[in-house]
Amino acid sequence: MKDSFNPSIEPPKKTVTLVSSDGYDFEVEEEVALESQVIKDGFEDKAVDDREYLLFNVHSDTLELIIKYCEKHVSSRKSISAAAASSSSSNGEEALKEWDEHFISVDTNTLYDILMAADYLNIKSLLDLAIQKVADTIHGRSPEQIRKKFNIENDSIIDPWASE
Amino acid sequence: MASRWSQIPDHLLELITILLNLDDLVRFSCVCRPWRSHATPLLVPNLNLIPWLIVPYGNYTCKIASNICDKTLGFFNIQDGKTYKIDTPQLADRRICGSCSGGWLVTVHENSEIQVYHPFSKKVIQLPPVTKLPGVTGCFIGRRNELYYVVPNRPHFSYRVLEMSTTTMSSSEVRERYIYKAIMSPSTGIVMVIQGRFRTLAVCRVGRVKKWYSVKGDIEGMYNDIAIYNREFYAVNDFGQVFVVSSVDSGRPVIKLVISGPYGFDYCKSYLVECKGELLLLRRVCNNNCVTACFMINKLDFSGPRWVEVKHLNRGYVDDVGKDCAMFVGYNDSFCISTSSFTGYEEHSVYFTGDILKRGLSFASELQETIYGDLGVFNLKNDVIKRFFSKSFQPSPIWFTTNSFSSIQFLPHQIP
Repeated sequence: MKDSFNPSIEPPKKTVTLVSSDGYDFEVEEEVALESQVIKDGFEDKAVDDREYLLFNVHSDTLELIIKYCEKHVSSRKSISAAAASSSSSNGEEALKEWDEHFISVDTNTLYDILMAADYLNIKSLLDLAIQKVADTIHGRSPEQIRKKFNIENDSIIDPWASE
Repeated sequence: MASRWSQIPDHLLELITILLNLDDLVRFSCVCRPWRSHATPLLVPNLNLIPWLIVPYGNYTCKIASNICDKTLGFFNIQDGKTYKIDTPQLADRRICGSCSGGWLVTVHENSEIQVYHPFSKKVIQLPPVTKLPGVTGCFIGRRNELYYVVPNRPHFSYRVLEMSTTTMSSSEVRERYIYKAIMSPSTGIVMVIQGRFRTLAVCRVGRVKKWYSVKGDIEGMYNDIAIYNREFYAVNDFGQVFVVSSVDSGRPVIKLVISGPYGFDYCKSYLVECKGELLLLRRVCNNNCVTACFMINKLDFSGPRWVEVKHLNRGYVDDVGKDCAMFVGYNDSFCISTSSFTGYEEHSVYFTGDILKRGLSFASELQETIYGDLGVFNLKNDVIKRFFSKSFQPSPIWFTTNSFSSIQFLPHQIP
């Protein structure tokens, strides 16, 4: 193909397949999958035609969210560095922060799934985001309110503020 | 499924707890057993018992000549030398004028609000405002939109002979100086303040009344410190005279002289401290730069009544009083701890913060920095002062404890 000699045209994107715990295939671009440190480690050792990952700990609902997060971060990084190269002012980082905040504003059940998946896949920025969200949720709440929020049973621990 | 958050792996719990403030961590540890076992080693031992020093958190400093708080406070622990962060959004723009037994802080705002606040539970209780203090007749908005208060220009005890005379005071000045010190008895909810330009006494009761009652008696002004001893309010004035307040809860509190000042009493900042069941009068002796040089102590023997010298500049020190004991004085309600119960505190010592009251109405602002930096521990045995910080803070640090130390059992007091 003529096009392949033209450096301004990108080569076709390489993809990998992620398989969720309930058996769904998710085909994602290589660089999106590489946001996960676990996938990145040992990625080169794997044969090119065997780039399929079985993620037994991540349900398809959660995996969808995780992929959405990684795609957003890959594309934002590109646009931020492009803006920096052309030295045009960009509020890309701020916009991404806002996006993150919106992304992580989920119920505590989903938050738990994201937290566990981010830990399992070792996606540092997402793990930090989820941990921060948990800490923010705890912040300023009484033990009873925290239990309610996180759906934790009271295992009859002594609670100095129980009367409030 | 229900409690999967409580089963969250340790390494993730660790990441979460790193982000928590001390007070959040306390509540976190009460959620469930797995969280508790993770958080307990991270908590300061005896968190609820030890004395803390409230300092500004981080790089916060407020404007010159102001003592208002930020939205976060630092709790400095002498034992480990660390400052813990506590979020206190309720304290923003307020000045702390009292730190009472049980951990209640009394605060005053420019807008006249006076509150009682607990930094751990975040509970806020409203007290009658500044405008309801005896003699304050009102407030008005000045030409440049600032708030002014109309306050007495003469001591209210002179009303009998002279007609009322008033003057104005800016709202920030009222916040900074109008209430000199507040204490509260947590068992009765009665709050007493030293207030006004003539440092008279006023009381109110939490939740019940909408006004402050002035304390009447033969001498009604120039009070220097107040304390609770044997469930009664005591006061000492600039001349070392000690008074007891009776009928506090009746709406007509009356003050009576117990004893005049110790022989040779010269003006200085005094404190009343309950120690092992005795009432002590501490006097802070300063050098020419208004920095603490020494403390003198007299014990009040009620059977005389007479003063018993405990610690004098030249005449030595009767050391049974300070044995196993550290005293904490400043804007806080004075308290003592038993040093054998807590490690890291010196016995025979006075832990002090800078709150020097100059004779008259206010102190020179150029002295403020010196005064707020004047905090440390004075050893009664060897007269050595150790200081905790090399810099001064604003707002001025204040001792804090959630304990009610009067209930602590000291070893039986041995009389030589």
